[in-house]
Amino acid sequence: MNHFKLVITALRRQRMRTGLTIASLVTAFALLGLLQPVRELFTQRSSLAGAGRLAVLPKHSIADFLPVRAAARIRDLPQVRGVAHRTWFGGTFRDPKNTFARWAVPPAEFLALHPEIVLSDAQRDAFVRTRTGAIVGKATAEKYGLKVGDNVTLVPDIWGNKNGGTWEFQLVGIFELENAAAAPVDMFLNYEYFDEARVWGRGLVSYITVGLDDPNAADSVAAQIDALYANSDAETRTASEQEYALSFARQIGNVGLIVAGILGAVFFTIAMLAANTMSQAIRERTAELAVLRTLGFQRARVFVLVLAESCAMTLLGALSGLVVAQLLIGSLASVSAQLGAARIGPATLGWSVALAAIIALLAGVPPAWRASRMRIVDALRRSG
Amino acid sequence: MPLQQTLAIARVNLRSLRFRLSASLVAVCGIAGVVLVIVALLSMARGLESTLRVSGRADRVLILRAGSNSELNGAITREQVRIVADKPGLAASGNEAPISGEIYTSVYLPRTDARDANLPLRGVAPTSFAVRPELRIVRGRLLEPGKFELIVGRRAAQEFAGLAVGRHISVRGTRWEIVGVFASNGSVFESESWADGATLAEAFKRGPFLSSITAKLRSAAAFSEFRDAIASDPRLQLHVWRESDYYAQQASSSTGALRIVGGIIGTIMGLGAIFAALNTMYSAVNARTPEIATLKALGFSAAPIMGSVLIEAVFLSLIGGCVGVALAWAIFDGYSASTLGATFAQVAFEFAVTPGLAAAGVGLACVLGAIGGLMPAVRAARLPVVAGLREA
Repeated sequence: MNHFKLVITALRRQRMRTGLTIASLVTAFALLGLLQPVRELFTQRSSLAGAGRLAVLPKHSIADFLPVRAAARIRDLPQVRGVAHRTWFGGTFRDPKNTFARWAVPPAEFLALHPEIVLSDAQRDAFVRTRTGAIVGKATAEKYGLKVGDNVTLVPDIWGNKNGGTWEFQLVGIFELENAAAAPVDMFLNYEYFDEARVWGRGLVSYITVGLDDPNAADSVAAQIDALYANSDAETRTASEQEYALSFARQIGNVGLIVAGILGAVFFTIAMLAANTMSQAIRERTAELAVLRTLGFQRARVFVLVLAESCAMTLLGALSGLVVAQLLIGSLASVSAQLGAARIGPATLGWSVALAAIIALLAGVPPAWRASRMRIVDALRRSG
Repeated sequence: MPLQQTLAIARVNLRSLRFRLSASLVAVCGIAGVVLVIVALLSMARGLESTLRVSGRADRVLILRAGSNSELNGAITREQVRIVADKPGLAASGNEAPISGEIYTSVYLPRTDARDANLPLRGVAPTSFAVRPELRIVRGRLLEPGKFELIVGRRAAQEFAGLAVGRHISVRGTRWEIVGVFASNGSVFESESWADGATLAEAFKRGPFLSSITAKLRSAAAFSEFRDAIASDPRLQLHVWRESDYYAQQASSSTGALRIVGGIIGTIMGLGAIFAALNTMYSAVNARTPEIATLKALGFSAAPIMGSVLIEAVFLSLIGGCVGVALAWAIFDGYSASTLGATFAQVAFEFAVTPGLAAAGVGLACVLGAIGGLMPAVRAARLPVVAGLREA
């Protein structure tokens, strides 16, 4: 009879108890697998180096604008592969509750800079050529039943239309995102038409996006851009586009601290539960372990046997918990598009391994030690 | 009779709890942890909600450009403010109408945790203070028109670095002196900074547009008269919100995600706590198998035995629930935090562990305990007498 069989037999002795302990380990690791990726999303300090694109923002306020001509000047800088810009359109689509983002962009430059936007060649051409064209992410299109060729009516808030009343755009494409780091929810409108028809603010954009030849040049290009506009009317603040998106997420609150608090409370309880279960299980089996010793099992072997039991339970619980987390994590996208980008990564796996090891040892070592130290005669007499 | 039996057994069980201390503690801690986390998350939602709700009054209106959902997106002319001031339904006050056209923008500043965040900056008119009589200066003094001066809300001063009276901040090459700190019943305005509107418009080269109009009605009942007068004037493409409705809508949209996330976390943690309670109660029943069999042999029926196990489970979770609520209250009640509001700027608020939340937490604990105790209770009741006695 090998060790493995002995461990399995021991675990199956009190199936209900083993099952419940593993189930509570599953919930703890499911929470870890769900919350740690969210925490990373909010706390990772992404450096500029290696960033795919830069975002050039007005320095002082998100309510400010940059002149569109700044884009042309940035394009002439070394290492810059391409430049596009975005202007927050806002407005209302059907109901104020429909809050997907709407941006005015220059179609050709924008599509060239965003290879992750998957659009058929025909729809790509249509977006570039249609003056009143718009494209929308598949998730939003499905949510509101939009089809290519539909008219999209937007009621303006910031940007009044010279022709009065509402803005009419023609939906010429529905896109998906490659290697989706977020759900395809945004709507993009043709900037040229938008700029001609807006009541005020001609030539002003919300921010400029910059593509780089060499991602490692991000820091130096960012510094050059900010130097170019220092002390001008339109001072800039350049960061990686990812960092810009995250800066909003971080302003939601100290998610890192909250998550750490929740997980701390959960794992403290689960470790206690597992330790209690293990010591109870070993106490009940004192006589059996004494028999094993009588049969010639060394102290070390008994120690390993008991420890293996707690390791097996923790391992099973941790693995199933992460599987559950993987299944649940997709549902975060329904809470917010940004949370949908959470993925179980190396850090989550590292934490899982570390916490599983700690729980297995905390729960397994004390009873294993007691079991290996006991005197056979006492143990057999006590259970007699 | 069965009730007496139940209580008799329960009393013995509870007295013997100290012999099963570690197992019982696990159940208590499990429940306390769940209650702590859920009450903390809900108290955050409750605090944010009450901050937004006290901001709006039924006898005040917020006027935005038609189609606009928040003050950040407004574009209103001064001419429109003058037209609105003549509409019926507004409160009468001396020679000046209680109406203020305001600029709403935000500036990027370091918070006390050194991370940059958006501080709301409101360009106000002299009438803004008459429109919001709840606002009072707690340190320093009011603004003087035409000067580069700021007053900051009590909570903004806590959340952002360097917003003390007498300090200066530079924005866009202009230097602003902080001359006062104000409070306003814990409303959302306490998260803002205020400057003289005309000075701000010039310094920020904002052009002639205002973001919103706030006005005081004669009474809450005058709302429809006023709204209809605005709607029927073709010169005004404006939407009138009753101020309380505007903030109620923001409250429900900004706490929605928090409640969903709290729900997901709470469900998973609740399951874990039920497993812990089940485990504890099953081992309690196991440990007492001979005793239970003896009781049955003496003539106790199944119901009191079941009831006594349930009572023990609920008792343990009641302790856990009270511990959890007490911890949540001690750690989080009044804890100040800030989040991203509807205008992409910071809204500061305080966690509020209300009596209602505390009761809900303890109630939840009892439900979890009852669920965790039910199956072990059934097992105890079904225990065959002979097998149980033999084990002894």
